[in-house]
Amino acid sequence: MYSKLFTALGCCLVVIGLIGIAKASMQPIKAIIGQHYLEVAWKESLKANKLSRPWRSADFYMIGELTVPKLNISRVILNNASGEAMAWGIGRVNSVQFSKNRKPIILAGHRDSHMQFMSKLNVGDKIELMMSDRVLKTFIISKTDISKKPELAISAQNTDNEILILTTCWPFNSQKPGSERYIVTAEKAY
Amino acid sequence: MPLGLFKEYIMLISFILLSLSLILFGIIKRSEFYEHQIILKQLFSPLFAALVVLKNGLVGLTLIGLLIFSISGPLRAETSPKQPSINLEDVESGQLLMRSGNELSSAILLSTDIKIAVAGSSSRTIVSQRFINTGKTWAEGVYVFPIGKDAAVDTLKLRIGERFIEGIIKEKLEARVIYEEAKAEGKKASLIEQQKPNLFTNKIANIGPGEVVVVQIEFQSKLLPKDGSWELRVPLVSAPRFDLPTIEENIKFGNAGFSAAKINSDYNENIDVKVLEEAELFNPVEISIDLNTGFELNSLKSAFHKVDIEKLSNGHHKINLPGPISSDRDFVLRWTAKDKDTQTSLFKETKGEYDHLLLTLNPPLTNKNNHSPKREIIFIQDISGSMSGEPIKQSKIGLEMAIKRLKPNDKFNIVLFNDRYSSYAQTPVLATAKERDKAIRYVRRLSAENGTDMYPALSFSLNNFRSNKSVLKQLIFLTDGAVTEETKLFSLINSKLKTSRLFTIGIGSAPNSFFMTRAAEIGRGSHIHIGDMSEISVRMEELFNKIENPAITDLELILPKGFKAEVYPNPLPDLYVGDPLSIAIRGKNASGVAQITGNIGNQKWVAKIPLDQGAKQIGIAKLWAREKISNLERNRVSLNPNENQKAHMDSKLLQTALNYGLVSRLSSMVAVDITPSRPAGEELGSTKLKAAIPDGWDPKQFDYNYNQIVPQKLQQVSSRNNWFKSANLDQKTEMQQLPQTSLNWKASILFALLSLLLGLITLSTVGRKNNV
Repeated sequence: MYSKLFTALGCCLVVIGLIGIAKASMQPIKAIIGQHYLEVAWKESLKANKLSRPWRSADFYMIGELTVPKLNISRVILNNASGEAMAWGIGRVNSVQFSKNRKPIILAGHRDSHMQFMSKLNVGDKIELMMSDRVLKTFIISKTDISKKPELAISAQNTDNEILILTTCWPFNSQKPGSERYIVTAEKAY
Repeated sequence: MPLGLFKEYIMLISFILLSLSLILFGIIKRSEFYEHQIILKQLFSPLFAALVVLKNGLVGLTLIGLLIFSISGPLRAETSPKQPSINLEDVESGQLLMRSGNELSSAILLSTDIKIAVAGSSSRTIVSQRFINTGKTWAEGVYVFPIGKDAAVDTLKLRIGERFIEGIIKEKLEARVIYEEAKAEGKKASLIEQQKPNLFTNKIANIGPGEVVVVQIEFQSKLLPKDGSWELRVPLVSAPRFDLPTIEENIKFGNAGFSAAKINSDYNENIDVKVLEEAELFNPVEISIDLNTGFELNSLKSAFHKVDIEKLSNGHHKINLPGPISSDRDFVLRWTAKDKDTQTSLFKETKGEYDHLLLTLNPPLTNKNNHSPKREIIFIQDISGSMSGEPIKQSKIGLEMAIKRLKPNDKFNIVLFNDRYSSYAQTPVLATAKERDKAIRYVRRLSAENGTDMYPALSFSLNNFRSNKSVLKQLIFLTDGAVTEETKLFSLINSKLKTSRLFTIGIGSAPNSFFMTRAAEIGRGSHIHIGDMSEISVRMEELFNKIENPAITDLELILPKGFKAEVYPNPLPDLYVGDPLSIAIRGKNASGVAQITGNIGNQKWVAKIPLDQGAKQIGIAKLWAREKISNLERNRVSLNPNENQKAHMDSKLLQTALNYGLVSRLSSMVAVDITPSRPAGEELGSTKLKAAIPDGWDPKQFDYNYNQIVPQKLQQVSSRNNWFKSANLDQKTEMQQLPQTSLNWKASILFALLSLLLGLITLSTVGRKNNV
């Protein structure tokens, strides 16, 4: 009698396994295809010279593009870093209301999809950034840090020097969500 | 069959059914998503859509799987957990909440200047307001301004410190993103958004401590005579509206503009609240009106305020307030024409390839020789707490008067409501002398208390009519209109109205006139507003005179052959004596004679209008656009469209708003200063640089002497607070939260593989046993 019950249990486990595989592999697939699509949409929006959403029901905008010439990698930047947005691309972390100075641009992405390349970045590497103002700016990595907590102390800059910060989860190959972050700081090159 | 196995089967079947329905749901829901991806369509459409559909179905399946076997763990990591980052949709509350943890400043309105130019049947209003940031830190200011319902907001000019910026119209979300970007980068920026058709908010980012902000907005509105008299209303107070929590919490309506929100403790030590209160008195409102009607006036007077009138020529007057007034009630100006015929007018503006026409005409006065038809009237009286005091007193008088006017063969009923409702009689009763006396006694006993629940009362009333078709069925609704579920009420009115007509009477100094006007429109009746005790009997009498007499019904506009045009309102409403009809028309090359036909009782009524004789007038195009937008908004509420139709209406609305540069539900006005704000270290307020005012900007409003316009008292407070030495503020570091940035999909796959393996082992073990 129990054999039927075990058959059912076995079937369910198989089904769940298959579903789990499909679902989990959806994430890298989404990241790859999404990035490809965002690239096309971003070019379109640059041509049209206006900010636009990649598709109508999206709740985020494309606001720029990041390029790492050394790795031949480019990523479209979205205007928020919610889980939904970051499934498709890298997001700009909305910064704290600061006073009169320019604030660093902080970008975040998943360590096992869009920001995988961060493990290959070193001090001195060039990062190119184009925001919606269509000015191509070059940043040079000045330091890399590991933060124990998922927060970052930023102080306002007294100079005009623009700062770009990339962040992702640390350690790179862990499979557990954690509180540590890898932080790359780059300063604008003149 | 053992019970356990039966249960197992049931479970399995329901599991499969549920999954299937979820997959189907996913397909249906995502088909819309799929449709909009134009570029995607060309690239990977089938693949992409299939993936999305699969994903949605699978998520559902997995969830059920999780439920049944209560397995949790790595499978959950679909998206990373949400961080408290700001969602664009909640920016309004989110932004303010976040700032309340930091230092918060309060700004004070220094002055308000309102200039109105009336020309023909439209008016252009320019509102200039000066604010000062009295806080110690850089702040984002939000202020709310109420304007007339039909107004078309199209211009925003700002001076913040020494910066000048001007707004442009963008799609709402796009405008918000631009604003947020600019704000985050420390630039000056401003954003005007429509909250309700008669309520706009303006956000201004990065106002420095002690900085003065001059905001100037311009809007166009329509002016229509009512019973031969024109009325110009400048809303100066706005009743708090309870379905706008973010505004309600943070903003003081009307006079002070900026919220005097949470003042943190060390701020309190330096500045006592008294100073703020005194400072609020520095909010004078100045109004000047250039009234160019184009015809000779019979009378001209302000309803509530003392005014100086200067006559420039026949039909051209200048009206000024003798001094600043406080903004505790609306400013109302009324005038009448000497010659009754002037009430018919045609104005024209050509923009692009289109001619825009605004046609206003007065129906013939027919009330003299007609006998009044039979009527069935239901009075709906608001007796909720918001009506207590003067409003209930006024509406009791009004109601009593209305009952006295009833004829013996009319039928009537009275429905009262606050958070529950009751009625005078079960069904409408004949208005005999005895019944009328009884009803008046009933009305006199009324008092106002408790909350408001309008829906059941309105529903009951709409279903309460008992007479046949030939009887005029009218609902008279007396309320201050403090309602929350406007949309629900509108669709109720639309579905239950049938042949009856709804008239709304706004009571008190600041009723929700948007709700009442729209309700009357959908109810195919009309709306009046009574703001003053001394006016009540006159205005009520006007209304009853009007509705006791037959309306012109079945109105139709016949355009000349070959002239195709978009006409609003559509359909044309019923007409009452003394209530002019205003029609906005847009078409190419307007010429020929248009006809308006209708029925007065059994009689046909025709008016002929030569379309090429319109007088040129700026602003008519904007009024046409505004009319089209309100028509779309009205249809969106009353026609009960499905999602597709709604999206279609919305895209039409947005297109119109963008083409004509208007702020609407879907478009906002955003202004960004290109240059970043003052560099660090430079002291504020000490600059000697003379600001250059852009061409076409009014120097009277935008040029000021800081020491003159900022009251001494505030300046003293400012020095006490060290406003101008706040450079050190920037040295502080702030903590930026970083989002979760790991998907851990590899672990998920591993786990899924394990489950698969386990399942296969189980199956094979069972199979082997059976074979044995």
